[in-house]
Amino acid sequence: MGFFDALFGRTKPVSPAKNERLFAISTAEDTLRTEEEMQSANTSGICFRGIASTPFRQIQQELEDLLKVAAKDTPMTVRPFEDTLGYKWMIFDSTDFQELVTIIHMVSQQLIDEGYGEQLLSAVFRFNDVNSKPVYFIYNYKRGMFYPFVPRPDSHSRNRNNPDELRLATVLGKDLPMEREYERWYAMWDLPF
Amino acid sequence: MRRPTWYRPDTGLTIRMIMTMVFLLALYAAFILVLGSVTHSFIIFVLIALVLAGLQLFYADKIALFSMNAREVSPQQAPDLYAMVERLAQQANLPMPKIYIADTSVPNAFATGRNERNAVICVTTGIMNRLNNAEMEAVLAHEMTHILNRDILIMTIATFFAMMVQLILRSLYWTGLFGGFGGGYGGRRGRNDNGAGAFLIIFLVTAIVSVVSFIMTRTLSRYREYAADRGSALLTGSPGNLASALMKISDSISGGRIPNKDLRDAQPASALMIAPLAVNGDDLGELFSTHPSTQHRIEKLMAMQAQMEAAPRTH
Repeated sequence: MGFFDALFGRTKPVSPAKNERLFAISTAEDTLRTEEEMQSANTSGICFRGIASTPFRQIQQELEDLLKVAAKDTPMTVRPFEDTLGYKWMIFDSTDFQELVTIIHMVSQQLIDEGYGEQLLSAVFRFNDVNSKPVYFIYNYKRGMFYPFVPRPDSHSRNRNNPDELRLATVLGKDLPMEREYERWYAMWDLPF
Repeated sequence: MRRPTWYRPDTGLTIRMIMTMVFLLALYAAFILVLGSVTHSFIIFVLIALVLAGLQLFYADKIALFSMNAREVSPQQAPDLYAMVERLAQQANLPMPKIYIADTSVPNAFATGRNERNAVICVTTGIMNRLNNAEMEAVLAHEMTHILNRDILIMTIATFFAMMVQLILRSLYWTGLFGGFGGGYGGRRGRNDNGAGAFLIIFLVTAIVSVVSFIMTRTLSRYREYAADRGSALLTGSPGNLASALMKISDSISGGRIPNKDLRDAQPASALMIAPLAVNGDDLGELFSTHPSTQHRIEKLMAMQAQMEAAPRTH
């Protein structure tokens, strides 16, 4: 948001979605597996803000159809979801982590190409620690940065395991473009996977 | 990559806003030049106004929150509200603002704070009870856009000049009333018998500038409200949500009540409310108010919805 944009209240969409750094999660997966004994939970999702208009709904429908067709030849499955805050999700299950990364990149690129890149909020990758407790890595499209999100098992209290998050951020500091501003490590409660 | 049209800034609105700002700047520059060629004693009012504006910038948020009897809430106290604002902050690429809640049945919300790091969003319990989640989110997105657009800072600067002109006008009034013609305002006048005439002209010019600048700052404020409405629609992806929220709020606010608030009481903090306490439907009343009428705002939002529906495929 430049000076003149603020001055004239143009409120153009804030920042173009940064898609390319998404691939960094592939190297991080390797590190997590070998050094932290964390496995990919074989599921990940992309979260975006829908637009209440026919053209957008069409694009979304086309994308879902396309993905379902593509999923026929692979063990991957896709399911759409809408959370309580009104955000749309596309959730993918696949035992091939690389495929998850590629498909999420493809979907976000598709939205960007259609001119709706600003609607993208985040991509979420789930890992399981040795006790099968979830550890999430969230990619923020506006920032092009990752950050860890580790909810405490009793997630009704909405507590995060900050020590683990900070430690993971250090461990993966070389692999991932890590969000430096801790205040932007926004939680995502009640994730659908 | 081409953007769908409705994503693009509202050029008409931008042009009108630029024109208003240029006009205001030119007006003040001319006023200061004219006044400066007659006397220099008004400098004191520039300084006073500067101090007042500075205080306003740093303390208006505290005063507004105090006068609303608002308290800061934690994520544990208002998890749903936090979740909503967090997503919007992420979407707008802004740091998380502080959240305040005011215990009053009057449905309202406002943003304050001099910059995005010190931003506060305050909502009343009345608005939370009245709106559903989608409408509440639209209102929060409107406030978020005020923060994004630095509206507090811009409206403080705009009202700073208006405040200065008013100060000068008042002092001229009292000087004239008590016949202090030979005093502060006679500095450069050659002969005393011309004094009264020159004084009257300065007084009239100041009065006119004061009225015009008042109307223009209000105009600017309304344009910024439209911009925030647009921003809300962009963030939530649905202009209809805000339109529906505005209908509900205005229904319960302008129930034919006569406002107690002084018309000249220009406060940037209250100017950023989602809906002011009284919005008249007629165009003349709108000229003097900080917010466009609900009807005009809804018309604009619906025009945006139409643009979205007509968005051509770019790919």
